[in-house]
Amino acid sequence: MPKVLIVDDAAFMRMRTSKLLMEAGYEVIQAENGLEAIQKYREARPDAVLLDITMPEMDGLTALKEIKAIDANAKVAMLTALGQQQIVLEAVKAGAKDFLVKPADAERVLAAVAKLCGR
Amino acid sequence: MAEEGKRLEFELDDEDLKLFSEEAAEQIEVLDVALVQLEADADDELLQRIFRAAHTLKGSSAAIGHKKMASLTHAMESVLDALRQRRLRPSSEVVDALLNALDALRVLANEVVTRQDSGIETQSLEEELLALLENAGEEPANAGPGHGDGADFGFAAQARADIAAHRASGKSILAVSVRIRDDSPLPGIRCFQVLQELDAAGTVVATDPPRQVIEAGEADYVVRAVVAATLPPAQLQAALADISEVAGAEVREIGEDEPLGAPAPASEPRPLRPGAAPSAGEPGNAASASRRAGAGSIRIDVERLDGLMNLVGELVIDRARLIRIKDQLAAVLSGSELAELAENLEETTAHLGRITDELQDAIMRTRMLPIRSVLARLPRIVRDVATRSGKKVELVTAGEETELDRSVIEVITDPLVHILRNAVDHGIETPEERRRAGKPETGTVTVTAWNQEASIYISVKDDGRGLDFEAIRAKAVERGLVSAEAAAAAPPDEVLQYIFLPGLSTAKQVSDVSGRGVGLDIVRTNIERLNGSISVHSERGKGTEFIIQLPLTLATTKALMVVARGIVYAIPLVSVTETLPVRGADIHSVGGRRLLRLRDALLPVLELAAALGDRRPAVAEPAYIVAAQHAGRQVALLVDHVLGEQDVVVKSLGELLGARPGIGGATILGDGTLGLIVDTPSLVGGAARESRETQLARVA
Repeated sequence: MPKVLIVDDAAFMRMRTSKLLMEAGYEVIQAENGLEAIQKYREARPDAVLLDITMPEMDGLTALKEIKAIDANAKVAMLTALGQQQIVLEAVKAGAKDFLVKPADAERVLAAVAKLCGR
Repeated sequence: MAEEGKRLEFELDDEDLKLFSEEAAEQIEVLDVALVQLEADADDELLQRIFRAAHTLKGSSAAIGHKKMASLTHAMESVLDALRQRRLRPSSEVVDALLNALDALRVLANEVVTRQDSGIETQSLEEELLALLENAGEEPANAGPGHGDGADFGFAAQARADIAAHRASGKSILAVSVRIRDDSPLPGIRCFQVLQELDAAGTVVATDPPRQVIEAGEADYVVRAVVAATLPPAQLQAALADISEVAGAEVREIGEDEPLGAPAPASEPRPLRPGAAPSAGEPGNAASASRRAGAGSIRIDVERLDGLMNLVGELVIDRARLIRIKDQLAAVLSGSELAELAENLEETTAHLGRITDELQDAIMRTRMLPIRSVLARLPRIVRDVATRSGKKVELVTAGEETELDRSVIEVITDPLVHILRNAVDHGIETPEERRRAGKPETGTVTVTAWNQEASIYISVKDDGRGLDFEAIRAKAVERGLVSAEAAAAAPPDEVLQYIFLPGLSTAKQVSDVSGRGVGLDIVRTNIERLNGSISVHSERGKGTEFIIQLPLTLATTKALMVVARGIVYAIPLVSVTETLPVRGADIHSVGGRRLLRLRDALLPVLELAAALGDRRPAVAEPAYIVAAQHAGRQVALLVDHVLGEQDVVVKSLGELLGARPGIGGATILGDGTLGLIVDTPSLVGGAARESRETQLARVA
């Protein structure tokens, strides 16, 4: 069962996405911020990461770079809100494989995660 | 049916709300400007820009569940798509329908903020838009931009030598065309991902749009490229199709004899987001340079900047306090062993002062915005007024990059719009009149902005009929504003000033006689209240020019500090004409009123504290006179003494004291007490009302 790490400081979004992915047959790990995400990535080595951009403690872009430093092959999709185009572009340049603009519909989330996990 | 005032729920949190509103406002602004341009020149790029803006609005309104907004933008988008594909012509009927829909969009976007149903009716707007589509369709369906997949690879013609070299080294040359889904929220980044994939596959020889555009994330929905690679076309095609939101990818090998197509028209990259309004005199590079700089810039919340500004304001006040303490210390310690300490403090205070000045200056600069956003609204206004009054008017704007403080941007719009409306409504003649006068049927109104020293200037110039000096003279006399003799003797320059007199231009029929409209006295008062000025030049038959001058910022002002009945007042320096001691001044009593004769003028004399409502008995005989002017009228203000000039940070009196006539704001003084900022226009106005006869003492 592919493992997906969901990183988002907004609990509601985290729960909604987790539920969606679990119903689709993924194992889900959650983190509330960038620091926690790095720690969980080290421990669990998930197949895919959904990484929010705006978070306290450590933002998504910094977390992305740290995760890529741990594992150059990490498969990360950024979660972005409207109007963060420049950060998303930077994230893609820094190795993010994909991105989802919030609020993303279920179909898009599942398609992106499936691609990241090579399904 | 919508119920007005009903509470609405949308799927977004506060942070999203902010982004949503900002983006919506931005896109609506884009539409506002671009739709008006459409009639004049519907080039592909413009259509594409308009379509994108509507598309973005549709996407974000749908995402938050604003059905009404999504549905209206969808109808707009359908019409825009037809325009883009040249199935529909941008007639004024089409533009009108789109502009009406846009007005409704503004209201709908605002519902997201208020969360209240505005009750606006959009059904008929949508029907109107869709009806346009039904009438369309006969015109040849010409493939619009964004649909030219795989067509012309002429952009690669310049790279012919490279292509030959790659071929010689055994690589195959692949023509790539990728289209991003129409509803993709950030297509520019998808295009960048396409480029990444191409770079991984081989050597990218040429791209359309150019590489730097794609790398900046500013490509549209289509990327075409020529790649030299060793992998089979099908493999690259699969890799490209695997990128999220790719609608279609096409990769085929270009044979050795196959031409690339016609050479690309000039190698200049297409403008990505061309400047808002058609502009004259704007150096083309400035706009693109500022766009390039965009990547290295960040957005800052206005509230944060205001907070910083306030903090620096506190620093400025503390500095003034420190200087006082230093002076006191120096006096106490003078001659003692600790005198050196006082000197130390003096040096430190001086340094702190310099740094504070620089900091204030730097923050002031960060608050500066280009005037573009204000100018961008004008084409729509000109179009509306011109249509209503049956005029043909072209608006030319220049100086969009001129920067000014946020606080000024907020207040400059109203007077500017007022003058612009007048220029179109009354300045520009009807096409028929213009033809008879041997002028082109279309009148021109030019709005130009520029900086000079610590001021911003905005000129509104028309090539219309100019002001009728005789009519103005007659009207001023008829209204009892000037005597017949004075009017007859007044030189043209002075007659022009009459149009700013209260009572002259408020009458409706004056606009027909003088060619100028309503309430210019109010415009002038508002501008002068902001420590600015307005001037006018006019030539019969040639046109009229108004020039507004405003300070670059309203957050601080230079003031003359005076004391009256023990209270410190700040009189804005722009209104001060001179100061003189009471002793030796030529003060007369005329009919129970005191008048100061100052050179050729008679100034009503006011005791400043009393005029501002200070009812306490005077503590000392006023020793100084400050002559202050507004709108060409002067008053003599009696004060106890004059402290000197100072930069003061303007704070609103707000809830602190409530509005008080004659007081424009407050500032915190060096000793921590409150100083009151004098509102010269209302003092001058009050004095004028009190003594009608002193109007004769008007100083030109």
